[in-house]
Amino acid sequence: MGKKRRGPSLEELLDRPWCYYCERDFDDLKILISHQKAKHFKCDNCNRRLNTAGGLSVHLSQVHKEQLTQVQNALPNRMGVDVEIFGMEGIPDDVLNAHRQRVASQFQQAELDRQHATGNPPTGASSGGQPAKKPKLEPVSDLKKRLAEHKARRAEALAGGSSGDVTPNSAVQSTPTPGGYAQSPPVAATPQYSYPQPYGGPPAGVTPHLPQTGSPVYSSYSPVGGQQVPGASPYTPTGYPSPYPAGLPAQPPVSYGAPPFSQQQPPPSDNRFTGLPAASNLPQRPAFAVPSVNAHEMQQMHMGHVPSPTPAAPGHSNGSSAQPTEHVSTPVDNQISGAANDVASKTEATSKPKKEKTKPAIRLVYNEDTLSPEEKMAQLPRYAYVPDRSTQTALSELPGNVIVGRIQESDTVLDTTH
Amino acid sequence: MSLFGGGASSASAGQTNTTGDISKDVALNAPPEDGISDLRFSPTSEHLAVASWDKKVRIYEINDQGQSEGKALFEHEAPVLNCCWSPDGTKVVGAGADKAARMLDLSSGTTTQVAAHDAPIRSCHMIPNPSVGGTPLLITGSWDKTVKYWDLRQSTAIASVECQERVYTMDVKNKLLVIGTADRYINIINLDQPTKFYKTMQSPLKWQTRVVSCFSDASGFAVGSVEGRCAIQYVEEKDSASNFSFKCHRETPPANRDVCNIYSVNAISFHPIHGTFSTAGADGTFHFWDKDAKHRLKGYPAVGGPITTTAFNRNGNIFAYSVSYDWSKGYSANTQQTVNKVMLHPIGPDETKPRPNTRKR
Repeated sequence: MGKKRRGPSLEELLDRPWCYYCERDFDDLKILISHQKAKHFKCDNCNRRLNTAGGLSVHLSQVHKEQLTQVQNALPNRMGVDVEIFGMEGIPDDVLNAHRQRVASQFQQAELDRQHATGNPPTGASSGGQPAKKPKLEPVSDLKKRLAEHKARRAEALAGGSSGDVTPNSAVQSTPTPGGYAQSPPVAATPQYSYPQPYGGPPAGVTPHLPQTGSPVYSSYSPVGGQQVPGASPYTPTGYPSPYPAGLPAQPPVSYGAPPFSQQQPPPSDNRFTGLPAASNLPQRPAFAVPSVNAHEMQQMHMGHVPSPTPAAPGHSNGSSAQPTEHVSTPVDNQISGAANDVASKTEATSKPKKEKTKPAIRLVYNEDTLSPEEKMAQLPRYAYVPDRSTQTALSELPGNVIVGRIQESDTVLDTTH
Repeated sequence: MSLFGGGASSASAGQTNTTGDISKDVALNAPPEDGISDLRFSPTSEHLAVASWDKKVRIYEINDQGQSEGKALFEHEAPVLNCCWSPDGTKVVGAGADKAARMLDLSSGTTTQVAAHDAPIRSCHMIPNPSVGGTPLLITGSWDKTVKYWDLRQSTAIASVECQERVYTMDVKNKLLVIGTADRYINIINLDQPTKFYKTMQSPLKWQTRVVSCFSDASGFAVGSVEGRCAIQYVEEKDSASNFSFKCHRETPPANRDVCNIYSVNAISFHPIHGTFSTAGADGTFHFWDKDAKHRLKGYPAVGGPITTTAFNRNGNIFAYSVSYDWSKGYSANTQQTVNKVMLHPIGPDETKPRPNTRKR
């Protein structure tokens, strides 16, 4: 009765060779090495594949007279040339440990998810008296409730324009924590809803207000409505701002999708997987809630930013029940600023000007272009040619007074030296 | 072959791959008393002629140990600027500021004037007479802007060529005569037509021409300028793609990295066998280069003063260089402390040989 294998065990996962530069893992060390040669140690100029970053550096400097500054296609914090990596060799211990931990936690996360999905007990722990049951089908009322909740969430997301949907923490934001929304609507919801009302015309739910205060802008331009309010002149500036301070507090937060909130039942479960009754039977999660790590967060972790504990662990945030908006905003901000830093550092690195080679000032030791040194020398009286014929003197051959002057100078030098 | 007492292995002991060793160099005994203007080895024997500003040309004999002995001497009326040997090694000619060239016949010991110019003669060379059985011809180049051919017997030149400017340097190899003048003119003469410029050009270098030197195979020549640069120039247009120039004899003083001192290239000599060449400069260093591989074979540390002239002996195992003041810094730098010597450098087997190209992948 062979047991079906569901996937690789943790040991197998940990044994997989992986690339230091891009954190990819491979089936085989050979494939890893060929990956590194092709992706990280390839010379862009001649497509030659070197074995290590050092080899590429030497190749670049000798063949192309260039300097290797970073390893290509690498994660931002792994671009260093100084680490000599070949396959799995040379990976610093701390990086290696971090990688193992990450693989282990991802494995556990996957295991947990699978347990949630299948309702199977954790492997090897099935001896417990009450095996977890498969999820039952929900009653129709529950389904409807959830649908309503979902709609509310969607409406809120649309109106607020928060980026919650795209961030990995969206689930957190929309997870109704008990009490969280009960307090928040006046703060969070009203500013969001205040917009569509003045400009979009009176929504159905708030009719009693607007006809009284009148929207002067609309009424003045569309006399068809005929709702001239005698009390408020259409063009007085005071008429415009006045309606809102009066109107706003009165806006009930129930205008759009609020019904679900107002009639909200106590949340079915504080677990994330709200619809599954069986979930409550699950064993306690590991103390550190394994965050679902997406690629960006992974990068951040490599760069040393430890993401603030994701508020995704509802079991913990439950008790403290702080404003959920705060919870959400911090990691998002971190990520945004982190990404900004990331971009900034990248541009900094790329825009760093090449080190200008300053040319030293050039000094010609013999800076004379019309006379050779020998000619100068030959003009010295010391070397002057005085032929026997007395009619012809050497000085008459010498051009220019300047040189005669120089001769006299050097005469004095000769006197001192001889 | 043991040269200068020490074997080749001991000569290479104290040197790295690119930096040569000059500790084994031997000084010439009884060198001239003043600046040395020219060095020439005899084409047939181990004799060295040294021309000097002290108006004398001395001839030394050099034995296997590098020891030297003065053998002969003749005098000019003014500083001697150049000297040369006859092709058979029996005569030495000096050319000097007394506007005359004088020849010493080593067999008879007599000195005769063999050429005259209107200005100091800067350069002289002797070539075999193209007509069989004739005496060698002397070529002289002078600051009077002419190059003249002499047959050593007549008092008038057999031919004369007008140059654009004063002749600063000449070199001859086989049928190739190259004349470098002031104002950067370079004239090339095919000695089959000795009175006609085969080609006239401006020096490829931007500064005053200091020296020209023909390749060992006479297919071109090297030019050195006062601006620490050396150009390799082929005569024929078809080879012009191989022309290039390179910087040398420059120095950035370690104390002041902002300045680069550029010294004059004073001498270029081609190795008679390997075809590699030496440059020597006012910075007091000399280097061996391979023009075909375009790289330096060996560099040597400074020798303690400007190098004015260099020469290889006939079989290329001695490199002679003269250390004396070359006037590049004006008269004020010419002090009594200035070294004045001729050094003989034994050439190891690997110093001037072109390296096989081992850098193939």
